[in-house]
Amino acid sequence: MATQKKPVPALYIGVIMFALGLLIATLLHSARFSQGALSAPTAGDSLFTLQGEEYTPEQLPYAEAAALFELEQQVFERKSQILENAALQAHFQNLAKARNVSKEQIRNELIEIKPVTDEEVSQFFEANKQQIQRPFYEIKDAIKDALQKDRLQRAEHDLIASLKKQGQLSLHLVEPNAPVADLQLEGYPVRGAAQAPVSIVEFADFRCPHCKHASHTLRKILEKQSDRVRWTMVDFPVTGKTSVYLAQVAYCAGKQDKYWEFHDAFFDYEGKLNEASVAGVAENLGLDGAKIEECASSPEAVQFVEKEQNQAMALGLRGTPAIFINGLPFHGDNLEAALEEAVNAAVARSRAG
Amino acid sequence: MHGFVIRLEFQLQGCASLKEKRQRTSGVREKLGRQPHLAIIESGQTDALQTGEWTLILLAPNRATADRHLSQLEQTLARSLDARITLFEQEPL
Repeated sequence: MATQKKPVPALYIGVIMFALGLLIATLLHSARFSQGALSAPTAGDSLFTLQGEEYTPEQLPYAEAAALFELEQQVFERKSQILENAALQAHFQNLAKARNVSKEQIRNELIEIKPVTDEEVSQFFEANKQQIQRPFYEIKDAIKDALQKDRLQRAEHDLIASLKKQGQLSLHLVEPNAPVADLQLEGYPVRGAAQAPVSIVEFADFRCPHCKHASHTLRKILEKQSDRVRWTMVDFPVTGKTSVYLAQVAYCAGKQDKYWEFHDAFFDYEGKLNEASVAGVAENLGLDGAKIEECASSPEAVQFVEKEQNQAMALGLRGTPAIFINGLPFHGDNLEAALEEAVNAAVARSRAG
Repeated sequence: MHGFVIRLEFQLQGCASLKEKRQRTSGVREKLGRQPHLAIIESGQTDALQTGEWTLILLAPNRATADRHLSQLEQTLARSLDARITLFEQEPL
């Protein structure tokens, strides 16, 4: 029996075309979304459109760009953590399958951690008992648990680092770029070589204890790398009227070319630094204390310190010390190591370029 | 090693028994205890029905990570603990 072909109505073709179009649009959208979910906006990416004009990260004021970067950095770190953990589980699974053993066995082989001893628990307690403020018998189990988990985290971290080093693991994430601050530094006190490849800008308060520590570290670095590092100081008094006054005093000392002498003397000062300390510091440096104090109350000194504070606030700085290395904000524990790294990178760049 | 010791006190309004206290808090406590950077103990008020006290030890490889974990902890507690937090005190280690 001969079969008869039915003509396909135009409506069917229309429906098929529409469905295909919808499918392609969905695929395109999901590809775009998944890419967006894994990558931070980079230079040139449009962040928003206002009245027909597209705005890129470079057009944002520094404070907003820095806040956005901080958020993206947090997301990046959390995603890295999740993906590294997933990669580690997949690594154990693959090895377990290849050797026909359990995943747990592989894990125990690769991540060997010694149990935390009672002595280590006691040592931790002794070192931190001021902060812990609980009796040993009450807290010892929590300390043991915390130390054991810390050890496990470190072992996992080492294994991930070794997989990365061997080229076996790479994360498909784009690390966000920190915005570079456009710092206005004309007229501020500078230490080190004028043409140094590494520029450190420090916003500090003479009465802030962390600034004291940073000041000592920076001085140590400058002693070692005076031809490679330039240190600019911006006073950012945040701890009240006394701090503002001390910044004005330092400005006036600078007018007599003694800014850094005052800076070091203030940060080395033993005891409580306040208005009454100024005369003694000036005398030790061979300056006229009364003249310095008179200058500190002058409109010029007041306006200069206000200008410093305004710059810090426009940058969105929330505390001191705030340090920028070649325009990039420094966040971390080891300033000395970070600066050493920055110096090495800058030297390598200058050799290459 | 960087971290914090955190003391947390809270009030469980309307809690009528230790069983109810356990039911209302054990979920969050277990969730926090499973975190790879946290250890937690019930450090006081164990027999009180409407108040509780926990001590947590948070350890991290660097200060930035410790700060981030601390902020996540605060958010988790605010979101998940069915109680009014009356004290959240942290001491850096």
